[in-house]
Amino acid sequence: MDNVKIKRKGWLRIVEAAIGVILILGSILIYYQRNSIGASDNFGENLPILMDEIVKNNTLRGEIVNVNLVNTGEVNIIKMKANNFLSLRIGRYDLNHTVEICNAAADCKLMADISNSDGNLYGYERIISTNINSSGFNPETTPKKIKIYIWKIK
Amino acid sequence: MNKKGMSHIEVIMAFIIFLGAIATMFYFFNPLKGNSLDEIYVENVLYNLEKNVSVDLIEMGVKLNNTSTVPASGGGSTPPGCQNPTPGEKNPNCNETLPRFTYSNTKIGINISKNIAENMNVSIKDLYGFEIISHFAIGSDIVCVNRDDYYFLPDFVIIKIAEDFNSTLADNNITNCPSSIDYRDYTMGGIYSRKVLSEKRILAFNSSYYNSILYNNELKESIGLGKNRNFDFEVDFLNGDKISGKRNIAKSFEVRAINKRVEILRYNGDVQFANLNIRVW
Repeated sequence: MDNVKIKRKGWLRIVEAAIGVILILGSILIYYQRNSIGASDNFGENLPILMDEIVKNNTLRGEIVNVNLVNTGEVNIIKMKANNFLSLRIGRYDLNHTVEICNAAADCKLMADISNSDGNLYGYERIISTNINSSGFNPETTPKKIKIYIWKIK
Repeated sequence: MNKKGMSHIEVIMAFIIFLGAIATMFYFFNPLKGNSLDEIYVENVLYNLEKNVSVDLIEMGVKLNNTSTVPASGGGSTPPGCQNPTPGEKNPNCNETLPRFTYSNTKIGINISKNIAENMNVSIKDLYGFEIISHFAIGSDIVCVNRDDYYFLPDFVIIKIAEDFNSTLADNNITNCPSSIDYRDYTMGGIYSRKVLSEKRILAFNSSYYNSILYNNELKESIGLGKNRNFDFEVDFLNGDKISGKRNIAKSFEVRAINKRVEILRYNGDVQFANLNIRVW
C-alpha cells in the first residue's frame, strides 16, 4: 500500500515537472518567435550596382582612367576617394570595404588587412577602358581594372 | 535495493516518454516552422515589387558634330588659309588642326525612330547631367536641338527615352526641327537599354498601397504576399529625398527585412541610385 502511494507521488511530480517545462519552453518559443527581426544580409549582391555607381560617376571614372599606376601616392588618393564614395552608399558600420585599382591585365590583389573579417570575403571587379573626355588612349596603360572587396566585421 | 532501482528506471522511462511526446507534438505542430518568415518570402516580395514599379529606359550616346572633317556645304566664314580643305586631312596652309566646319544647320534633328515607342518621352542631357533644351513631340521619332539656344552646345549628349518622366526643357514645338535630317550633324554612339525603377510608379504604388492594403488582398497577392502577411518599404536617395511607405509594426510580429541598392528614374529624367528597404511581417 505504501509502495503504491510512493509511486503515485513520483508520477505526479513528473507530470508537474513536464507541465513546468512545457510552460517555460512555450514562453521562450513565443517570445523569440514574436520579437525576432531577421535581416537578409545580401550585401554581396549589391556589389554590381555599387560598381555601376562608381563607373557612372564621371569625375571618379576620369580619375581612375587617368591615374598613373606608378605613382603610388596618386593611386592611394583615388582609392581613398572611391572608398569614401562607397562608404556613403553602403552606410553600414558592420561592413568593411576597400577598393583596388590596377592595370587591366593585373589581378588587383587585396592589399588591406582582413583579419577582422567573419571569414567571408566578397569581391567584384570591372575594367574601365576609357572615358568620354579622355584625350589620349593607350591600350597598354589607359584601361584600368577596379575591384571592390567587402567583408563583414566579426 | 530493488525498489530504488525500479524507481530510477521509472523516472528515466517517464522522461523518455515525455521527450517523445514533446518531439511528436513539435513534429506536427511546430510553431516556429508554421509561422516563420523564410528569406525567400522577402526576396519574392522584392522581386514582385521591382517588377511592378519598373520601366524601360533607353540611353543613347550621341556626338554632335561641332567640328567635322566634312567641309561645310555653304554659309559662314572660313579662316584665311583654310579654303578648300581636304576632308580628314590637315591643311598645311591652315592653323586649324582640322578644317573648320561651318555650320550650315542650326537646327539639328536626331532620328530615334528605332528606339521610340508610343507614349515615351525624351530628354537630352550633357555628360554632367544638365538638361539641354530640346524639341520633341510625343509620337514623333525625331528629337531636335537648336544651336541658337546655346552659345556652346556640348559635343556629346545622352538622349534618354522612357515613360514616366517629364523633361523640363523639352517642348513639343517641332517647328524648331529641321525640315529634313542631315546625318552629318551627329554621330550615333552606343545604345544602352535596361529596366530601372520609376519614381512615378513607386509613388503611385505607395498611394494605392496606403489606400487598399488593409482591405484589398489583391495588391498583397500581386507582390507575392499572403493574406495574413504585411509589408512596408522605403526608398532613400543620397541627397536626402525619401519615398516612404513605412507602417507601424506591432511588437508581436516576426519581421524580416532586405536592403537593395537600385537605380531609379526620377520625374525630371535623372537616373539616381537609392537604397530600397523592404520589411515583411
